[in-house]
Amino acid sequence: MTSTKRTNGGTPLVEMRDMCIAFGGVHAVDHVSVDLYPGEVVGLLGHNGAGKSTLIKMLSGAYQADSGEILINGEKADIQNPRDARSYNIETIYQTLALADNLDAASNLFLGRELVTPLGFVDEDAMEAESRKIMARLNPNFQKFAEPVSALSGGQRQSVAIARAVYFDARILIMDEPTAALGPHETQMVSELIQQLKAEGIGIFLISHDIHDVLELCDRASVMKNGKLVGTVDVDDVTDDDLLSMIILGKKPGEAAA
Amino acid sequence: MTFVKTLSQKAWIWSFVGMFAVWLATAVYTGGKGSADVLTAALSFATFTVIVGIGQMFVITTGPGNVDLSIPSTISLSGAVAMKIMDGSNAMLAIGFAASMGCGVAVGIFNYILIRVLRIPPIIATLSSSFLILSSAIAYGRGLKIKPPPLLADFTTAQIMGIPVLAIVIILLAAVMGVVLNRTMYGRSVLAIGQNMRAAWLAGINVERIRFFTYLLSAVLAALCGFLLSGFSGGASLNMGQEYLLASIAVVVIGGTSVAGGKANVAGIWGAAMFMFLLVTMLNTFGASAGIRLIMTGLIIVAVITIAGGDEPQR
Ligand SMILES: Nc1ncnc2c1ncn2[C@@H]1O[C@H](COP(=O)(O)OP(=O)(O)OP(=O)(O)O)[C@@H](O)[C@H]1O
Ligand SMILES: [Mg+2]
Repeated sequence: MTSTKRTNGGTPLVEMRDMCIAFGGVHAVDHVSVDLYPGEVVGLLGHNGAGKSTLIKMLSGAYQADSGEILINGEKADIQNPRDARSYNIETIYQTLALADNLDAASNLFLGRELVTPLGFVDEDAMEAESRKIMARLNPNFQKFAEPVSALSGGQRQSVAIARAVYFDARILIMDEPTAALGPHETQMVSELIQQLKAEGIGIFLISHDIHDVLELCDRASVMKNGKLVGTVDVDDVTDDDLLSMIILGKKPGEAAA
Repeated sequence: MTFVKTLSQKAWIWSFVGMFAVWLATAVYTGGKGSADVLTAALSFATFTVIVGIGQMFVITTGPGNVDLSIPSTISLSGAVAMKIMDGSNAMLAIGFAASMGCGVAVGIFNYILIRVLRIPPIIATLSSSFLILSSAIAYGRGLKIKPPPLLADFTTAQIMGIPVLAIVIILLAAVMGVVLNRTMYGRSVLAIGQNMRAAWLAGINVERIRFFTYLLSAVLAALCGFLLSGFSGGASLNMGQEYLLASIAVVVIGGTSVAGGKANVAGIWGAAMFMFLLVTMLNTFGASAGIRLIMTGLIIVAVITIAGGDEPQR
């Protein structure tokens, strides 16, 4: 019983095959394969330290895999650093947010891709105007455009990081616990955003600890434990208890029953 | 009131406040005699500190551990090479200038290679390269007694109504560098790298290219300083750069740039350079010894770092 979305998709947008990475002696990601189709949301679940962030960092260019290969649209991709990932239209919201503290929201949003005037100077007004537009969609209460992001709350900082990832027409979006610091209202807005982006055909990897969010937003879920892939399931085929037992016991529902 | 408050929060303001305070104190002590001349002299000498201070500021702004200690020897090498090539002839001015800039580019590239390829911490890399650079200057500098071309000497000492022409040029340079810092992608990247190198890298900034340009900029500005200074002081000498080691760092720090990186100010460099010169003048007027002057300079730097650093951790 495979998802219709999956079979209709043809070539996957992203295929990560047999990825491995170790830090010292720790196999943070150990022979993991996941894939992602256009217009699909794939949830990544697992305990703290399961290797979720490390797995997606190999796709975002933050880490170099020890072995394994990444295919984008069926072709082998060479991702050595975050700039390479961007050239494949991969955008990432890091769990740590990765913001420059003394710069304001707009400067962070456009960091490394500043809007410039015809003379090549950074166009602060245009950047602020664009930031206001995107923020109105994400977090309408956000007003602190002129302050350094170090003066923002955790949720506000998270909004800035989300805005940065969705502004630049990503085709592949990686969201590492994007709503961890957000209030219920903002979390709801991000859920709506995810659905909207999905409808636009963007593929999304969503790392989350909230099983209900995953069941609601994702098409499939991949569960990791101790660096290994427990399995990938269609969310329509499983209950929250099934997912929970995959996370805790490290076994797929079928195996548990057997 | 809020205006005064915002202003007082800008660290660089204090260098200008200090500058006027010291100047006033001196003027009061001398009954106002020669106060204008003191300002002219301050502008003249501060100019050279500002040139190297700007380069040092960009380097320091790229984050903790980044500093260029090869500035003094680059000044000496550049001055010696330019004087020897020009040999006092106006006709050779352009070639001498090009050679001087060439020295700066070579030093910048060499420093970066040490830092990047050999992975030596910048403080050690630029210190060791400064020995090599100074040795080159010594080996090359047989003709150190050469006078600068008259045109260069005239230009570097010219004044319009008591204002040194060179100071005006370097005020313009500082303005341009202020725009570079705040309004170009390069400047933005320098600030971002200094604040959070990892975040800047994750944002797709080519961190290594930015660092390379920054060390190159610092070396080229040091070379420019050496070229102009040898015109100003009637020739090059091997120790002409010496005092700029401490001075280049001091003006950056006093001028409101954060030693922790990521926060910089160009205008403050001018205020700080003037302040430092006027402070020495004041202490001289008061009859203080050289030892006292050094102690005062040191204390002021420590005080500035303490005060400016005090308002940082407000998460
Ligand atoms: N740069 C690194 N150096 C050393 N070990 C690392 C590094 N990055 C990750 N690890 C290790 O790899 C393992 C997986 O970490 P990872 O951050 O991927 O977990 P996670 O599933 O994202 O957990 P969480 O839910 O807490 O975010 C952990 O044991 C972690 O200590
Ligand atoms: Mg994680």
